[in-house]
Amino acid sequence: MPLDDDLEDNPTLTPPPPTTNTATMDEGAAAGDLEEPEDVPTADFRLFASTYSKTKNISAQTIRKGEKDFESHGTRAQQSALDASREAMRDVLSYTRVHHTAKQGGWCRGWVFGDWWREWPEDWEEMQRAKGGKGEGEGKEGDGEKRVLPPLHVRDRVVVLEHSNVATQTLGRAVTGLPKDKPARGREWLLPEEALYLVERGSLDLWWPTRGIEEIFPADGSSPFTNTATKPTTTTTAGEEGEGQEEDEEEDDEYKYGFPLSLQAAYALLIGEDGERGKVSLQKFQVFSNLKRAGYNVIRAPSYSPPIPDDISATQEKPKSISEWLISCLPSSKSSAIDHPPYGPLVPPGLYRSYSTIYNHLSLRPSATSQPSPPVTPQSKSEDSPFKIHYHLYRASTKFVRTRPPPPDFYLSVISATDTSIPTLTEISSLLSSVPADLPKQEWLTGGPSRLYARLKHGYRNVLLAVNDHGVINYMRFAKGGFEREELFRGLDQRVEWSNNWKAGGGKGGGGGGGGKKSGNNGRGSRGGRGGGRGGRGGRGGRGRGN
Amino acid sequence: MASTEGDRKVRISKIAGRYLVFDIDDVAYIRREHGICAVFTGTMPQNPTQNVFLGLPLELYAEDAKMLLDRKVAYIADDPLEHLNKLKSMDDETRKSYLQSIKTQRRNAQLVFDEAKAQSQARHKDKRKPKQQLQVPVVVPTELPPASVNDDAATTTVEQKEEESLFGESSSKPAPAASQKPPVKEKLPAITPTTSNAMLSSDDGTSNPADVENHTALPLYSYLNESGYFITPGLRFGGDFSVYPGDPFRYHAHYMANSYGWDEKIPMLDLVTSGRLGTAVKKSFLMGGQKPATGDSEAGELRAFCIEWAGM
Amino acid sequence: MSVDKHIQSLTKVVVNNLENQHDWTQVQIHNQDNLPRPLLYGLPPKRLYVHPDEQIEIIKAEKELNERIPQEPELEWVLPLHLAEKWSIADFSAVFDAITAIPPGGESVNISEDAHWQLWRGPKRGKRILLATVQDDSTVTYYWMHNGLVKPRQN
Repeated sequence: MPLDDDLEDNPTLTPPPPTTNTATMDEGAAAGDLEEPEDVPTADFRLFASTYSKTKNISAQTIRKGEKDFESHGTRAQQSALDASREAMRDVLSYTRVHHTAKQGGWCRGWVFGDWWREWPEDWEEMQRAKGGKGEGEGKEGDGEKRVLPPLHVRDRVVVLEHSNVATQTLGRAVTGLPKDKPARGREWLLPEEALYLVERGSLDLWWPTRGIEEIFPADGSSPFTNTATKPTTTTTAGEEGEGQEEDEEEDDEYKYGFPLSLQAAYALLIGEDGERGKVSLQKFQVFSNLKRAGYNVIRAPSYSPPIPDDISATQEKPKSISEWLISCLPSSKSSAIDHPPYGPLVPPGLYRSYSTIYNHLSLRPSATSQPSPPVTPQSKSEDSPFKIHYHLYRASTKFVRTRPPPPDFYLSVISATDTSIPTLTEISSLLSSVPADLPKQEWLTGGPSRLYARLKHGYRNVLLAVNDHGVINYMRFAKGGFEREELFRGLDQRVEWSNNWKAGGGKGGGGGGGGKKSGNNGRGSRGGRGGGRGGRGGRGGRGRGN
Repeated sequence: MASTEGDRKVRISKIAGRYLVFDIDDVAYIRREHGICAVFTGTMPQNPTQNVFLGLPLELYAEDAKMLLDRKVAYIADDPLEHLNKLKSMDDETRKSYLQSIKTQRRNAQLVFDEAKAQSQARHKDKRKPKQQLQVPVVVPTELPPASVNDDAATTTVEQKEEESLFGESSSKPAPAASQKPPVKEKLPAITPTTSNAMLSSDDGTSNPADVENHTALPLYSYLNESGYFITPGLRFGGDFSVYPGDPFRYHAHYMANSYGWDEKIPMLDLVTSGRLGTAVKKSFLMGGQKPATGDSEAGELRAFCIEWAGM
Repeated sequence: MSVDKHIQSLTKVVVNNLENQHDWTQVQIHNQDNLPRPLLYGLPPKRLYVHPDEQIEIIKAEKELNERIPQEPELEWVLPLHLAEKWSIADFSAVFDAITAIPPGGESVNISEDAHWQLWRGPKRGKRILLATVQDDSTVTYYWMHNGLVKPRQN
């Protein structure tokens, strides 16, 4: 209640994207960077209290005193500051969630029916559509391309909504194509993580039913609450003074079909082991709500997705977009499969006028990323690997309709910090092959050597890993770098050419030089690519001096 | 809400192998008396669109739970089981007292609303600016002592509590507040209690006791705790634990710590990288383990070493 | 024996590195029955470690005396290791249990009880060992290992 819904969901309040710590090696362990986040988890509740409570008079000064110390000096100032922090924590967290029942859209009630969809066929909607029934997400695209519906996860849907409000708009799904006599037809059903998130943020009044679903949500669409909603109003007025019989009656009436659950009960009913039907693991829930708080739209990924072949290298049918077409036009070094003699030097003695020839001779094995993805058999190791896509993410700015979501902005896997090791090559490659290609921006692709690092850093497909350590979450991005697509030796040839032209007084002094400079700005790591770039630049510099 | 610290039993809810605390009084108590801060993991309903301040529940390490259990100040409850049992077959008495406690909280919420409305109306009169003053943030302290729920005196207890924490200076009693306002023509606001205290048995969890599993780091963990250190997850700094020389509200971490088995072979490279990382964040890398108990010595000694860059 | 030989050459690499790269003097190889391998000790060119609490006491003393207190180097223990090795808590404990805090001959004679800061060179000094980790390319990295909980230095 301190904040109204319209304010809560104000998109301008949504924080920037999560700190995606790129998993590349060049993110040097700068002390400053690592020191920073420390203040976040232990943030002083006094600060929070001062923003949200007008009853406590906390001046800006007391807050500023909140600088942390190295250790205890046993001073009274330290102790009283600590006491104040703890007191503020207690005050702030003593809050009870309140729902405006009177305000339109202020009250959203949900009912726990954990077993309602228990046996329901997971592919129900597909079956209905195949039968020619009108599914909700039926493709209306003009090009006739069939839009795949986001997976419903119907058996995991355990909370049915009686109302909706702003907060529920991007959550929940209705099961379509149900027979007419099915209770709660057309109602929105929430996944456990969605329901718990809504309860926790104070947007959902979760009830435990003491009657069957057919009484609470009759198939004819009527509501048993429409008359009781008015009746208690009068009794409340009457029973204002004397807390007698009348009120008990009202209460009985109001709680005829069930009663509200606590946050603790919601956890007890909705949190479960990994993979437990109708539940969500605590780790996943914490990541889910962390992302929701940050403003992302989050939906459960399909429980199984077949590996998506590397459409870039598989010299496929026809490129679908301009950028893919551009990629297919990039020269491929692997085409020159040189037959090497069984022994002797890789580069046979002789006269070479270009680096390319030499490098082609040196190229023995095709790089893994230029190969079609390794055949990942569904039942193979990857099946019990923890590295799976669990959630699809959408930025707040991405237009999002839950029944027909656009392609996700990010693919996310939730990993336990304590029970999981660094992924093996097999694990990470099968994870990467389960998401579609995500090419670097087009201007990077066409940007030549100057955008080399932008391309490498972005990679050609990527996943986010959310590492959860008892509620502390770190996000990492794993990307498939396209190193084999960046043939640095071609730049060397260009430079040779360039310097020859220069010596000859030719005016052509272009592209290659620019590349060298850009990489210089960036040069701090020790990656293979960087090393190459530096070498190249050195060479050019030498020539320049020689002039 | 125990009356005295002596007989307080913290309820640790075990849900799917995780250990959670929902009662703010329990949270405050273990923080103050047992040096356990753990991690707040829940969304703050007061401002659910930020990740800086998080609220209940508090997620404990298995080591925290085990330590509190061993000190006999807590019990581990199988929350899913206990809730299901209670919900599926609730006796009349429990049902009555549970609904009563909900009702009391709803009435309190209504009072706070009325108060806020009155205040904002007063403010409106003061300055006639058509500013959107209706959204007065209010904290509703409706955390009820579960023990009082059954009492006839439930309402008075609440009143007292409100006088202390909410209305402070104004100290307006519920009755006058209600009479000032014309009878409300609407339903009471609904509430979601934070804990299930009013519904669950307030015994010491003997009905559904649960074990604590996977507390391998307990020796190092309790050694540090008993030495006055506070421990939080180590993910932020790249170790098992972050170790603070006092409440993290006030102090920076001194160590990033890893727990090892006594004879567990540790690659030197791990020590070097951890030492390097620790130094980079101005912390020392702490490694420790406990000697297994042998015939002559019951509890093996605990050894800890600290590693930092030598600067040469 | 090959193991001994390995350790001998490891020790040699570290001695060499200490003397020639880091200008240590009086470097000695220290053998002892209960040590799993020989340790080294020697004198660095300048003081290598100052405990944060000692630092505070020095600053206090300097303020009182109104002059800078020169910090003479101290003898330090060194444990030669190879990067590929794996040691357990038990192994490190054995080393620490076998040594005194101050290497032989390093005991300061004139420690005055009144000058608190001086105690850190004597009775208050904790056991610490410089881990000298050798890599295959003969790079040596040095890390302090302290016995027990020793708070980090605030550089």
